[in-house]
Order: sequence, then C-alpha cells, then structure tokens
Amino acid sequence: MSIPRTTSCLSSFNNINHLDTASDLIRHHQRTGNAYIYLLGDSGLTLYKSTSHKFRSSLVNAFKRNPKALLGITKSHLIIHTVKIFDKHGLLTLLVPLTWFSLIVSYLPQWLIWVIFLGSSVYLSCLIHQKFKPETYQKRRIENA
Amino acid sequence: MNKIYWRCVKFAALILVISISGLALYIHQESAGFDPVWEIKRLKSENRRDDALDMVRFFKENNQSNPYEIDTLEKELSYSAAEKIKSLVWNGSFKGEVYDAYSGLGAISSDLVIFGDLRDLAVQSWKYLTNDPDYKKPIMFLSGAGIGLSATSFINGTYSLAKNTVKYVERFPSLAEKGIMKKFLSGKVSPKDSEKIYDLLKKTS
Repeated sequence: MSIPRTTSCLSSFNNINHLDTASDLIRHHQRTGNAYIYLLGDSGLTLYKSTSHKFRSSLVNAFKRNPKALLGITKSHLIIHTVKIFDKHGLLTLLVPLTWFSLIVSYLPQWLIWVIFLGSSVYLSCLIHQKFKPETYQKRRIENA
Repeated sequence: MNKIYWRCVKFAALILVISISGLALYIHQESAGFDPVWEIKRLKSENRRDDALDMVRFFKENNQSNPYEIDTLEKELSYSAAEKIKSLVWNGSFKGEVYDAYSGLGAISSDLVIFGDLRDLAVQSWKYLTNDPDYKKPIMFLSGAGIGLSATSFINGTYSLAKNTVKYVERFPSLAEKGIMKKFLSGKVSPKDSEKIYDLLKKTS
C-alpha cells in the first residue's frame, strides 16, 4: 500500500499558486522534481518560482549536489518568515542573490565559514571603533608628538 | 570624498560578507540533523512507498548517502512486474480499489471509459440499499457526475481523480488535512486550478 504521488504532492504544499510551479518542476526534472517538492515544500517552490528561468536548472543542480543546504534554508522558520515578508512587499528578488551566495558559501567546510564570519566581524567592529573614537586617537597622536 | 566613498564600500562589503557567512552557518546548523536513510524510512512508515522509492533513487543517483543502505532500501521498496500488473489491472481497473499509484492509475483509466463510474455507482447503490456502514456518499455523487460528464474528458478526469482520492483518503484521514488536498477535497478549487491538478496528475503518474 502506498499513497499515490499526486496525493502526496498535493499534501506537500499549501499555496494553490504553486500548482504551476510544481508542474513545471516535475515536467523538467521528474524524480528530482518530486524529491524537491517532498523535501522543500512551499518554501522550496517559492524559491524556485522567484529564481529567473536561466538559473532554475542551476538551483535544481545545487539541490542534487547538496540537498542539505537547501533544506537548511527552507526548513528554517526565520528564513521562511523573512521570505514571506519580502514576498508580500514584492521584494523577494532582493533576497535571492543573498540566498545564492549563502548556498555557494555553504559548500565550504564549516570551520572556514566560521573563520570568514569571525574575521569580518572583528574587522568591522575595529572599523566602527575607529570611526566613533577619532578624538581619542587625535589626542594620543598629539600627546605622542 | 574618495575616502568616504571607499569607506562606505568597505562597510557594505563587510556587512554583506557577514550576512552571507552567517546565513551559511545557519544553513549548516539547520540541516545538521538530516539523514536520508531516516527520511526514507519515515516515508515508508507513513505508507508513502512511491515517495520513498523516488527518494531512494534520487539519493542513489546523486551519491548522497551510504550506497549499501540505499541499495537495500531500493530492493525492499521496488515493485515487481507482477505486483505492478496486479495493482493496475485487478485492484485499480477491475475492483476500483486504490492502494498505490498503479491502482490509482488503473482506477482513473477505467473511470475515463465510464466502466469505472458504472461499477462504483453500482457498488455504492448496493451498499446504500443494504444499509452497509461502508457506504460513501461522495463516491456515489462523483460517480454519477462522472457518468453525466463522460463526454468531456478533462472534467471527467478531474472528477475521477477527486473520486479516487476520496477512496484513498478515507483510509488515511490525516492526508485530507494537509496542503492543497484540504481545498481540493472540500471542492474549493476553481475549474482552472482543477485543470492544473489534472495536469499534475498526468505528470506524477
């Protein structure tokens, strides 16, 4: 006994506007399309829909290579709500490049991402510190002189 | 002026790098618990054999999991030729009982040539007359509608899909509460969207 594919596909997403996207995904990618819908649901379909036609196959290829990365994006409540808010105001396309870059970076080993994150954070905090403390530096310079 | 411009660019680039690497770390953390084999076993336990089989083949094609475990699961889940024929012809087309994708396809095919609608109408009428507790009013209504609309293949196909989904969902009531299934079974889907669902059926079968 098994639940037919159409039934489980229809129970995987809530937004009726995604019917076209689901059909398109299955027509072009068959089994991978089915796996994409089962694993990523509504958020995955929103991401696919908001990606331009040129990059859709690249998105599916990224899913094939690293399904975990896309799962991380679509299963996170924080990201889902951000996507919904951006989608509501028609700004979803702004979020797509950021998501793409994050997907690419997520292929790197975790320790390296930590190094990039911490390094940039420390550098940024140093810059901010310098920016907001110009008088102290000037005083020190004068004192040293 | 040039210095201010350069400083702004540096700030923006740093904020972008921090956001991207932060999001990448968040992705790693959120997906850390995902195990393909566990996911396939979960689908199997939820009577989603077709989905589980799709997932097994997807992970196998893309080398995403332990090959030995994936091969074992594939052998366990695959349909034999006899199983497919029995499901399609005997369970689906002849008896009109839906157990999986093959029997669903058989049941819908028999509905498209009126035979399935006549059979279901006769079965449900008999159950109604004998006060059988298994009597299902929606199936009887959709069979009648299917006979009435038999000249229009698309509408008949959508009715047939709805009828066979009702047959299946009565075994797993939790399914009816999920996603678009809820709207579809309550008849809150527009004819245009019904056409899209019918199109989806043709692609997923």
